Amino acid sequence: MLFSLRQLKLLFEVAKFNALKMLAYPWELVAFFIQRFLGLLFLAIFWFAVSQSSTTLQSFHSLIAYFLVSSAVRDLTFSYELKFGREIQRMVKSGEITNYLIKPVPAIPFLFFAYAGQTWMSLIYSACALIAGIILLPPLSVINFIAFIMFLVLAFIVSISFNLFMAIISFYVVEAQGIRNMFNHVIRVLSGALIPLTLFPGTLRYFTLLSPFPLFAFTPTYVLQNTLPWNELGYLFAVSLGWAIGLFLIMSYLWRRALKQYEGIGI
Amino acid sequence: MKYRLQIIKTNIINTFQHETAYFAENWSNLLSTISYTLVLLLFLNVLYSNIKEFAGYNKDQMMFLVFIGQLGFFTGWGLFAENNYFLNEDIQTGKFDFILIKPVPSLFFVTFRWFPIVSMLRDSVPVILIIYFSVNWSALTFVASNIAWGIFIFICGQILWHAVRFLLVLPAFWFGNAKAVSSIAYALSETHNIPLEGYTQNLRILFTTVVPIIILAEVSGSVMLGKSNGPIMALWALLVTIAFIFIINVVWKYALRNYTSASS
Repeated sequence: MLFSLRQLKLLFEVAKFNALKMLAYPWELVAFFIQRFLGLLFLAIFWFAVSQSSTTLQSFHSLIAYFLVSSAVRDLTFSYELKFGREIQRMVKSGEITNYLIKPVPAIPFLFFAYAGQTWMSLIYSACALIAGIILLPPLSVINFIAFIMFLVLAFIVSISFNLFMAIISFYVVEAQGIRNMFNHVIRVLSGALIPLTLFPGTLRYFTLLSPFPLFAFTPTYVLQNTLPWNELGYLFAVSLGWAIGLFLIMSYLWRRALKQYEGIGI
Repeated sequence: MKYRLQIIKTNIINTFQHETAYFAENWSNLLSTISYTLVLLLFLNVLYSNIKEFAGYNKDQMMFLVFIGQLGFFTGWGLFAENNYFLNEDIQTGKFDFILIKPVPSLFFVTFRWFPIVSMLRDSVPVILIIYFSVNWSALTFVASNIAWGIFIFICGQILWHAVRFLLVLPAFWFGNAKAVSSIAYALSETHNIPLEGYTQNLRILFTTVVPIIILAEVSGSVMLGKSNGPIMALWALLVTIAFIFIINVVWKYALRNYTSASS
């Protein structure tokens, strides 16, 4: 087994402890939901104005359903602004990560559960957004749901790999904020978080779908809201699986290498 | 006045030394902003490959609006956003005590303590140049008076954006932390790419009065392009700016009275 039952219990306790910490600032929680609501509101205003300008585009209704589900996917897969990677970057820069490396638990799962605990309100938001998106544009069959969950798992693996990559960089360059921002900008458009990839011109869309970025928003949403032919579904799955396995193996290897050259105080 | 200029000078030097400490960071930030611009241009190209006009703006006019929006973003956010972040941190950790005991006007100091000229130039110049050369200027028609009104509105909008960001940090005085509250400003900045004419009447009133965030780019851009009445919009922007400067001063004094410091 990957973790013993005792370790798993400990990890959930870590998540719970960090979740409770966030309750110390209740107004921050309110602000978080306002912030996310505003993000969606402006996206809705933007696409409402766009849909008013064209009759050939998707309907406003289906666009909103798309953005609700895709924003949920971004949070559920922890790809939203690669914040988990940012958290590790901060710890590496300040040397705080040493505290976690010397603990008799696997560092990455420990840090991840601590982070997931802190961001429980994102998970609540994403669950609400997902349900609203499904109500607005219900999937046509149970296959859509199964495909959605499968792609969500793959997206999660790819996202964690990207977050780890951000963390790995910080072992080599002290301040890696700029690199992370660069990835965030690229991910925002190429993942379909800002504009559905169905609106991309043919060739650009083809090459974008070959990259890992659409997994962070577009692909899971696309398979949930559309009935795809098996060959298209299989093709998307093969590309996504390839990225998930490839990136996970590469990042695991690079993480071990990065740790070897880490010079923390006391290590 | 001389004393205040001295404070600004000291803060500029301090910020410069801080900003040039991580050399690699400067390059990675440059890469980040260039990639942002390229992605933004890609977004607009994809959008306009599907539509001819967006809220009455053709592609050239939209590019101009993006130009104004980015100019506003880099000058305002570049110069003032970090100051608000530090203010929240200081209140949360109790370091704000050290500001209060300094022989400086506190509101002035927290507004201008961080002067990131290096990062502002580093981040803004390549982006502005790329967008500038992407705008088809010959396809746009400008009138000198509209440009003048537009610049005036742009300046008012800059002050107003700062006021909104600043007011969003002040709850930290009551709740100890306003990180998420102040992050609402990031969500509000998503308005930069929506033309004024794309908002409904009610939203226009809301975002030019109660939360005056679209005066900076959307209103000034619309006036410069001759789509809105310059003098009326300029008068409105001026009145709202005066009101918000007054509000900031009142709320600041009230917030200071509520500050209990970390040790008390």
